[in-house]
Amino acid sequence: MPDKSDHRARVEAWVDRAAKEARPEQLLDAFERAFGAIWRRARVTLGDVTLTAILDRVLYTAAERYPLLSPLEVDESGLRSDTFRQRAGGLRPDEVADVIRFILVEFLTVLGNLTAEVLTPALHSELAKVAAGSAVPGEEAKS
Amino acid sequence: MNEKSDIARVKTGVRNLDALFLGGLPKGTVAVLGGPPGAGKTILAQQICFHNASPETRVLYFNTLSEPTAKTLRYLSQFQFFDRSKIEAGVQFVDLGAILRNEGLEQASSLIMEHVKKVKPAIVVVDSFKAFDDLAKSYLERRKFSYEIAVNLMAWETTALLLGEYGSGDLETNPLFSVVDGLLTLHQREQSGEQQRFIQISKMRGTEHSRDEHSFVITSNGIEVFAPRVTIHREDRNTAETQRLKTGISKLDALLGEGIPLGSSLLIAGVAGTGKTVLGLEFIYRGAQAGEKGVVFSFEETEERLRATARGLGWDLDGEIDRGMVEIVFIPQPDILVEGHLLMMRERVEALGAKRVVVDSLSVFLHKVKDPQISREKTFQLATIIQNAQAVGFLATDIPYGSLQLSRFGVEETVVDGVILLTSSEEAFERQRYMEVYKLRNTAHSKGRHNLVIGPGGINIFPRYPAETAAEKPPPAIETSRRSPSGVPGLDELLGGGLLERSVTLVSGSAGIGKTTLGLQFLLEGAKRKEPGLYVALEEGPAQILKTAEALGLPFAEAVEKDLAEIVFLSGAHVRANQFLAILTDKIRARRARRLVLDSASQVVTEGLPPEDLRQLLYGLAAQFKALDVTSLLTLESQAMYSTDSVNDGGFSPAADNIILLRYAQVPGAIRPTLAVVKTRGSLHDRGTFYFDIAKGGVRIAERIDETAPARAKVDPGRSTRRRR
Repeated sequence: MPDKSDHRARVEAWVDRAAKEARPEQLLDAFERAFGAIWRRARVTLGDVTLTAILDRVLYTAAERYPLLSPLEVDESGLRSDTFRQRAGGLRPDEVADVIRFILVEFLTVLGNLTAEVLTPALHSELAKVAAGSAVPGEEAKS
Repeated sequence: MNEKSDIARVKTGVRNLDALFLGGLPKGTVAVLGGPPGAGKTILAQQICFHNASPETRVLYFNTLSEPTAKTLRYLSQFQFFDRSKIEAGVQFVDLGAILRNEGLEQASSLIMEHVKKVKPAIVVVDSFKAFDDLAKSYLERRKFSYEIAVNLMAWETTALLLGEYGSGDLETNPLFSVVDGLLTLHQREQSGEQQRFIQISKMRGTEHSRDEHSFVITSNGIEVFAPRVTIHREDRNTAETQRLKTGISKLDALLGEGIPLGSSLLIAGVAGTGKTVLGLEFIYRGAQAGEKGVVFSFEETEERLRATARGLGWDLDGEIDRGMVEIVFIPQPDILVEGHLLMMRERVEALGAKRVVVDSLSVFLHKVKDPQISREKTFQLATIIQNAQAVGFLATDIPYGSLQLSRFGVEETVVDGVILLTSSEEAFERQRYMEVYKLRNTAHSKGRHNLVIGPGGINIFPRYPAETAAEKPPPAIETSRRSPSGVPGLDELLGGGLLERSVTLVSGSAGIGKTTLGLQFLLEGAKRKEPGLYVALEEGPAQILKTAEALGLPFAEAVEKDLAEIVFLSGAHVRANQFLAILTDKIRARRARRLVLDSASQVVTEGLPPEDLRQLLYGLAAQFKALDVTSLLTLESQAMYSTDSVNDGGFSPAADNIILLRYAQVPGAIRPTLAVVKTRGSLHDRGTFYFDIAKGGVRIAERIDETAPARAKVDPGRSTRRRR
């Protein structure tokens, strides 16, 4: 049964690949694609209302820890990060990697807890499929 | 891949409630606590909250438009589970009343979630959620609100309890019930003549759960659920070797074979006054003396009255209670809560480590239960408690007068392992008590009714069939080479050399003919040979017998003094026929007697016992004397002066080895005593009739009756032979 450490390991691996030689903007692009992929897969099963409530919780917790994430918003289409991106221009790559890592781990963990990890393999798979643009050319999910 | 996940549980802190969910509320459950006002919803929710609350496990308690929060807090402080130090750090109360009144549902929802986000509680309570229903303008709004709240609470992984005055009608119409994971209903109604509270889990996702109603009470401890159906389970035992218990009660163990298997429950059934309470109390007392702890659950007699009863019987029950060997738990009849007290009994039995349990009485304990099936179930649960403790239970039950039932409700005996039936009947102006082991599983036990007497020292049972005679193997055959001289000059010659050892001899004689003298001589002969003897007198007292002996020059007093003989007087007024066997057995054993005279067995015969009972008793006596290696002589009073036609022995003759008839014969101007040996078993004998004299030194056989003499004795023509074999 996967747990938080499994989610963390998967996310770490993905962030490590995505962050390699990537600029903060590219990393954020990759994050939005990855999050969107997870969202779309989860929405099929859980629906907008539930997923929105879960993301609302995750973002609230994330903003408590990283106040710079407070501009992130949630709506029925998922994560809205326009405002955040505008303010995140001055962040170092490692700072961007940290917040991305936190959100993804938290989101996967809460989803896993609430679904008895039933969706976890599918969500991990979606995450792995998303390559980080030119930073990780041709990288595809192996799992 | 197919790994199952166990959902974490939230312990409720409510006694026995977690067992209904197989361990607690599934974590993250959104459940409705429904029920009418006063059903106990708020107390239940608060008890769960305070049990779980801590700085790490926080609780949010929302009050809506029902009870004002101030009142909630004031009443809450009355309960033991309330912990002032947990307020704020663990439990936060939030009043939503104002926002609901002013801004409606949507704002209330936002406010709830704001608090949830801020506090991140493990448990959320909304009391009452029904206020939202009442404020919703449409069914759709109500449904949407319920769904969103449920989803948001779920997203925060909180366990949520939504309280409301929901009735059965709401279940099908209120959309909330399709959204929530669980539904617990609380209500109260009259059952068995009193208002009782009940809790029922109608729905609980994520876990198996009981679907039955379970009674509960609200005390200063909060809610206590009674669910014996769920919490009392019969444990599997390795029954390879049955361990047994001896009661220690006089002679009862002789009736119970190898003993009562541990884990058994026995009904002690009888009408009022048959000795149920004393039997139960002695069972506990004897156990304590043997180092086995015991507990009495009494519903009628207070502890003080039971202690006084014990003192009156000469038992130091007080000392055993002080030693911690015995506990008496008195539950006044009006206070009985069957399910609650069942669990209490289990706790007390386990806490004491009791090996003996008395419930006095089961019929009072279950007196409010009207349904026989429930009586049966509760009896089974009680028996289960006793079995799991590997104790032995005596469960008293009052049988209705005049009924043929074995128990009050007519079903208990099917559940228990044994039944001891106590009865009484009026005999000769007094009431006699009897005991019968009616049933005892896995144990070969004595059958039939046995006399029971309650007196100083407690219960005394007089088994009709001692253990020796109950054996399938008969006593060994009489050894024909060993004889016991009768002590009567001339008699041994007629008997073929004396009485065979261990034989039983009936001496049937007319009034005053010399039966007692014959008996005294028989014992004196034994004394001479250092064979202790017992003279069991049922008519004359010891002083009279000694005087008779003295008048005849028989040194019986000397034999008594030398401890070679003893006169045992059993008053016919106080000792019943069916007690003889047990009393005589004890006496023979204590004295190591080799000879016994029972003078007279007529007392037993004329007792008025039913013929079959009398026959069994007499046969029992004969068999027991032999089994105890005693040569016995039983006298019988004959109403006939002259005739030898009958013996008046109540059908005992076939059981006797020897029969001697003493009758009078008319001679000119007088009557003379005669003697004839009419039966000896295993020996030749003289069938002639002889005169005998009684003078100094006792009975002495005289001349044979000459049938040709003019004034011959009126004897049975069949015995007129002159032949001496």
